Amino acid sequence: MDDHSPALVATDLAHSYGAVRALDGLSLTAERGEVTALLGPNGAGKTTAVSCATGLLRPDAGSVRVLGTDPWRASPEHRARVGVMIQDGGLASGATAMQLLRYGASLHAAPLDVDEVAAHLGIDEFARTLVRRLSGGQRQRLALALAIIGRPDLVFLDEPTAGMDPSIRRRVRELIRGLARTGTAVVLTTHLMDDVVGLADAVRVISRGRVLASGSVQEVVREHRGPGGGVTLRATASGVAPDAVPALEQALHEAAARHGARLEVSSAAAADLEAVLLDLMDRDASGDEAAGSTTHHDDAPSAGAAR
Amino acid sequence: MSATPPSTSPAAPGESPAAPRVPRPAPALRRILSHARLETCVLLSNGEQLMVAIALPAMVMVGLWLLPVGRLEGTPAIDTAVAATFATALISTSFTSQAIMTGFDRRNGVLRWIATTPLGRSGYLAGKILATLATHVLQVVVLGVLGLVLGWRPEIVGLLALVPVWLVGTVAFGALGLLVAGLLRTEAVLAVANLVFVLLVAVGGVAFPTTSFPRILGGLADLLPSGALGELMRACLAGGPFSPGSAVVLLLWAAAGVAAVVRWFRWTDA
Repeated sequence: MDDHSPALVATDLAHSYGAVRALDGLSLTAERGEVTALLGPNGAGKTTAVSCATGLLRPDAGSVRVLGTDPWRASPEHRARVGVMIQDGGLASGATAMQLLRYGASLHAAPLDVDEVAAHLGIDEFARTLVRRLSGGQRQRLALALAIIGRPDLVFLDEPTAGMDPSIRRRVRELIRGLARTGTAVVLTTHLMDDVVGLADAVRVISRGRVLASGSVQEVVREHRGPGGGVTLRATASGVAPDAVPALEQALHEAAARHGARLEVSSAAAADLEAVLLDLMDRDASGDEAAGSTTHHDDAPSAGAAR
Repeated sequence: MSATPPSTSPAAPGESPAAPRVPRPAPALRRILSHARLETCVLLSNGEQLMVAIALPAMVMVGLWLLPVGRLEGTPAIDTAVAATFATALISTSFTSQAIMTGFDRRNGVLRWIATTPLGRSGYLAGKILATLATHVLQVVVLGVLGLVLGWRPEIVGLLALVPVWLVGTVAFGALGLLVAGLLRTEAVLAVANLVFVLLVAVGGVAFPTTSFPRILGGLADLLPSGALGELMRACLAGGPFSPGSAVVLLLWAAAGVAAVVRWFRWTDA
């Protein structure tokens, strides 16, 4: 298998749990060096598909090749190349966070630096805490660290940023982008559209065990938005003087009206709030006494126009 | 918290990123030993597990040493007490603790995650067996010292004969523990593992020789793995008669237990 072939190739996968058909001819690929997001409602078949790809489940029909290998017959050598973050954690509740991370690293010949990973994901802050006492977000971080600790060629991440605060979420996104940049194939399942838009090179929309749409975010949106459906444009106006806001709002409304679009203007977008929150936390962490004198981001309006 | 992302390059530390290498698993023995170390640490750092592994068997020893029950004629009370205690310790760790720990591992998805790592399912089981044996060593040392303090004077031949009995007993009860963990819901595992442990020790031929039971009950207890283990322990440590029948019964339970685990153990709750 050459290094340019897809890391994951699933063809016509079918699997049933009793009378329930979880996979119904699902076919998809995931490329090396790309983040591929699997989207779909609960029960769509995403977890079953990942279970087949990680060798946890044998499909009733169809085939799946992971890095050129049938995962059902995977050797330790193959499993060392595949990192998995599973939905329900998979963490031994009686171990401490650091104990578990060092254990995960010990299963690999040349793992990432444990202390470095722990520091980046903030695991060092709860290193000696038993897993059963960790919050949901802390468990997610630990599970993510365990999935990547072996420098995998392909990594499956299930809801990697769920339950995380904005600061950690930003770091996790950086980490995932870094993985893809270094050639790792990342397969992501998530319900957070921000994660998809910000991270995914490719998306596969799954429903009732089949892939309904496939391509980049833009391609999927372009090809599958309903007839007559509108495109949402978002723009941010920064550096607007407070006394200029009414005039700018008026001008934007007039411009939107000329194009038959509906306009919503808000002066504190979620992005601003997140930026303020991150700024405050950074200041607090560095002991900056000036944190009390916040910058007035809410003076800077942002506008969104839709047609 | 460090803002610098860890190097995620597939190149090993010190290597050029231009020459990436395929991620490799650690050697098999290192993986198994690492898992055994984690399991042992988790078990020994858990108060409830320690109570089952050390405190309860110690109470059995002191109780049987003080009370005029469970003794063999012409044998010092401490000898039969130590034999019963060692059998109790073996069952507590191999069966009860393993059933409970594995049951929770299954519920928490640990078994699913382990199956995707280089350790794999066989490595997990190998590590678990090593962890159990390591805990047994600790039990023998602690409980043996307690026995010596109470007047136990073991014979070397008996101790040597104990080794194969202990190993077969570990396989038999470990397999039964995994079977309980792999078949029942976690809450049921907790109840069943504790209840069965108490019953086996009390009326299963561990604390009291089956010869002291009514005939039918004694005959039934002889067919249990606990009855066979109790008789063999007393043969090794308390000068009791060696019963080939007990050895056969224990071997059959070990073989049947392993076969049942291979056939019916479920790695996931699904």
